[in-house]
Amino acid sequence: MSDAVTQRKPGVAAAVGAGPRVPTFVVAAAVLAAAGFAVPWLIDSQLALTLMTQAVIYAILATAIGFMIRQNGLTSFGHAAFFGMAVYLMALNGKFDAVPAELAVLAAIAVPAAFAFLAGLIIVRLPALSFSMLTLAVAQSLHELMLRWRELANGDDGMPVRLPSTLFGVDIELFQAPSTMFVVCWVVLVAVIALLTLVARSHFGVLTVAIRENEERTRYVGYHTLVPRALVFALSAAVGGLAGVLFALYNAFATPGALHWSLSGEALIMAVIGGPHAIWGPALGAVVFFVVKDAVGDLTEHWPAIIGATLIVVTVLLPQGVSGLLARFTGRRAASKP
Amino acid sequence: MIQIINGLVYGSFLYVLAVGLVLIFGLRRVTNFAHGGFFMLGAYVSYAVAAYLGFWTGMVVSVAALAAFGVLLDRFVFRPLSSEEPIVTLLVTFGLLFVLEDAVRTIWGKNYISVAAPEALAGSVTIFGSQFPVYRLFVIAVAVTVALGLAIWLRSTRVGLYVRASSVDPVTTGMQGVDTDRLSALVVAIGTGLAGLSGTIAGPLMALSPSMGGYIIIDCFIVVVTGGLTSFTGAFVAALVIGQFHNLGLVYVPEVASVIPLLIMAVVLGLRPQGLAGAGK
Amino acid sequence: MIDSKRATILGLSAVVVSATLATSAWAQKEPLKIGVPTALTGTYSQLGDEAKRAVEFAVNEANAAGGVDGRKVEVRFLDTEAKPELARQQAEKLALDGYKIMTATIASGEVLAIGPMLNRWDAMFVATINKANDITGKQCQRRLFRVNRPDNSDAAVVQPWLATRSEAKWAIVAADIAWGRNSGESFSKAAAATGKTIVSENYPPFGSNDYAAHIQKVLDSGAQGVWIALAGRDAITFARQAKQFGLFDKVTTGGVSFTTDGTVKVLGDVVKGIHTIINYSSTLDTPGNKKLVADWAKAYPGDAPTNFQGETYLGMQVIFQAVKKAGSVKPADVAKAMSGGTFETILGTQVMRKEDNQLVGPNYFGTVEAVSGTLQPVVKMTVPAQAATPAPDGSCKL
Repeated sequence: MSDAVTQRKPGVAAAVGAGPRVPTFVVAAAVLAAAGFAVPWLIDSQLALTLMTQAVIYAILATAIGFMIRQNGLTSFGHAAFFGMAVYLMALNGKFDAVPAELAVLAAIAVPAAFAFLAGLIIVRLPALSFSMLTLAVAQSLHELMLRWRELANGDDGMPVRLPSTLFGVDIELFQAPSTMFVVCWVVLVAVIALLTLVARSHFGVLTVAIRENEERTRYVGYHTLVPRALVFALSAAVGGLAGVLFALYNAFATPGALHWSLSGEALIMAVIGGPHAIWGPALGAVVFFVVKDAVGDLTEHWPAIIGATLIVVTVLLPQGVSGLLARFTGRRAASKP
Repeated sequence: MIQIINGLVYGSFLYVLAVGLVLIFGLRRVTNFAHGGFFMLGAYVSYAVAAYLGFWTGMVVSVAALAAFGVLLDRFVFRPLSSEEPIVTLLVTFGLLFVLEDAVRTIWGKNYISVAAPEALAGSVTIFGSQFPVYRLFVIAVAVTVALGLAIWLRSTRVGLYVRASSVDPVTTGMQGVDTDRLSALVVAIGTGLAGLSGTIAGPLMALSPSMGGYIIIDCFIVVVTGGLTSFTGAFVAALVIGQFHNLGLVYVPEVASVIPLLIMAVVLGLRPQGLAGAGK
Repeated sequence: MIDSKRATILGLSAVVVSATLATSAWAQKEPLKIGVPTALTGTYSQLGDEAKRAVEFAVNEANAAGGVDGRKVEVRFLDTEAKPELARQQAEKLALDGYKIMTATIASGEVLAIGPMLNRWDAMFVATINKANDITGKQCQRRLFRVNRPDNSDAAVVQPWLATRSEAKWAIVAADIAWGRNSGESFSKAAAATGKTIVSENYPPFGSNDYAAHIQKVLDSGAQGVWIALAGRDAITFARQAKQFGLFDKVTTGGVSFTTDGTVKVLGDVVKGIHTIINYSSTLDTPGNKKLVADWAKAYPGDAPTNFQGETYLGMQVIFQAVKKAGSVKPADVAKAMSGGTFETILGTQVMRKEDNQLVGPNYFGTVEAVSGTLQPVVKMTVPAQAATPAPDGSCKL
């Protein structure tokens, strides 16, 4: 996955170069996805598989946040809003049986995206920290709403996600057994990263980076700068919603915790540790963070001190994230800083 | 009405904590997520000292200790990371928060702690025919003192001038020959010292626990952002407005009261993206 | 005819053989592995700590006495931060790792998230602290049991107590979460049934920092009594602020989870004289409880089991007896033995209802008073088991 910096035309800000006609990253993605199928054969431990499945779901959420940072230069402090929105849409549909579950899945991805697009039209224009705080505000408001509206969703006691016996023609068990769900989530993760890489390398992706670097100049050159940024936000929200859908299918339980700022915070940490410069960076960060936190938690109840110290050390030593380190090792230059 | 005064109390408390954050952000452009942890540490230090030497000594020690901590923080965290992305420092402060919580939990245990108001402030007065705790009036007094003190310091002293200049444009101020590193250490120390002060004040108001920072950090950020990130006056106004409307909300529209601070922030940012008194574009 | 020498040799051999068999039987019997996913960090860590100590005490006590049914008891604790998503994750880890009999979680949401997964993991869960009615109601599970008093049991004891009170006008201050709202609702019902009026209802958000607005509203409302459903950190913050406003001097105060053994230890004189529902107290006078309190003081000098610890210990008793009854540690067998079973607990003989897996027991009401110098909630009124644990309402379909 090449992130070499090339100058295409004068006047266009430094951008990511395009690959060959059939991009190598697509081939790489296909191989990785296929490799996922092999994992349940190689790993027997249900415990390991379930932990990996959950790590991958968080990896998808972290990827969404990282994508925003990379393309818009904006940090979302409230991405749990989209994640939790999706979880609750699935849960509420299970309760009221409004539409077939398949439609609910699609809605759970589309609704957060639409919401983000409309809100984005207003808030992406704001200074970076104001944007971040407003995403936090929106997520917290949603959290308060689902916490208080007990008649609807049972508040802090949470509500189960009722699912049909088949989904998209597949037995629902597939989404709930660790060995099969891991494959599903892994394939989704790889597909999402491939899709986002495609977007990043397209004209649209180049444009958003230009806007990120210098919004005024890009506007003067003649491009609309508002809609592209809002679209990036929407795409990021859709991916967050997708993570929420997988979470709802696997855990079959919805609580206001899925909307809480601590979830947004942890996912943000994962994204930054991984390094948003590479689209696959946040996913790596998520897996590393999740695994380390889990392992340390098994050893001691003082895991916060160890995790906190590790976070400080890693962030200071690797400001470009783990992906930045790997990129350096493989001799490729990390992309220009956001 | 008594309820108006209650609104002033919470706003005052928020102000003391928030202005510390403003100070730190103004100079180091750093979102300090560990600020809630400093608040918590300040509460515990003053509690521990007060057990032997009384409330007032506890307060002084807490402020001093937290200020010293701030100097170290600036020297070893903010300064070396100032050339990196702001998100890096943000994450480091997150990590610091985790460590602080665990350290306090290990030293002082998991049990909640409740602190009584000091003798001198333990009574009540009658206001508008109701019994009102003297301690709450004290909280308002502290906030006013801090606000006045900061205002005088910033406007009348040379150091204050440098701080204001640095807030607006750190680079140019540095070029003018001001030792921005020494200045930062001072300002961050005052910022963390104020966190310690607000933690001390919090003792007789709320339960102490290692995770108590999480209960006020969001409100604190809301105040800072609404006020305009680098503006001290903005923080003062924002804290009082938010405290007041939140409290009135609890009285008249309790169902939605908890989103009122968020709403106020959203409205303010919508109308003035740089906050009430922030440096505008 | 066997002469005495041979008899001695035979006797000794018999002793040696049986001893060998016995020790190898201990070595052969599968240990009893208890999993505890609870709040070791975060806002509920004080409660998690209490639960942990109670489980450890029960496990140590059992092992010192030769194990449960000759089996060694092993226990493993994992941190859930009282977050339901994390609780599910940690419970799954425990179950897949062999700790299939789980207990002592703090928040109801955690148990409700774990419940539907128990069959999948071939595990079982015994709730000892969680109050949500749904656990043995709408969301009941075959492998999910509860030994503590649920919300509807607390609701059942409010009315008898309220009937004894002379105050006519009451206010409510309850946390705006499921549990708080339930309590407020049941108090309102009890008030209506006993001819009292509710003059002020307040539901401050969970985790509020300033209760002044609500305290003032109660004072302004003319209420003669106030019912408080706040717990942990909220309870302590509220109590401290209420004291400064002189609320407790002006208004009779009663509550649930507001003045528990834990919060009273923290607040001391501030909450003297407050009335409270008591689910368990170390002062309860039964032989079983007296023994527990005495042994507890030996293990933890100067300490007595709190309400959460008493209920958790009781849960461990039920688990151990069910394992013995089943002669197995397999969750399927233990669950079968537990459901509908009769158990000898520190609070007497109690039955685990087959219909909804709820243990039927008494509930109490009391006041915070000094007992040999220390302030503690003391039982004043007992509501016997049948009245205290309402019959299943049919929402549980096991």
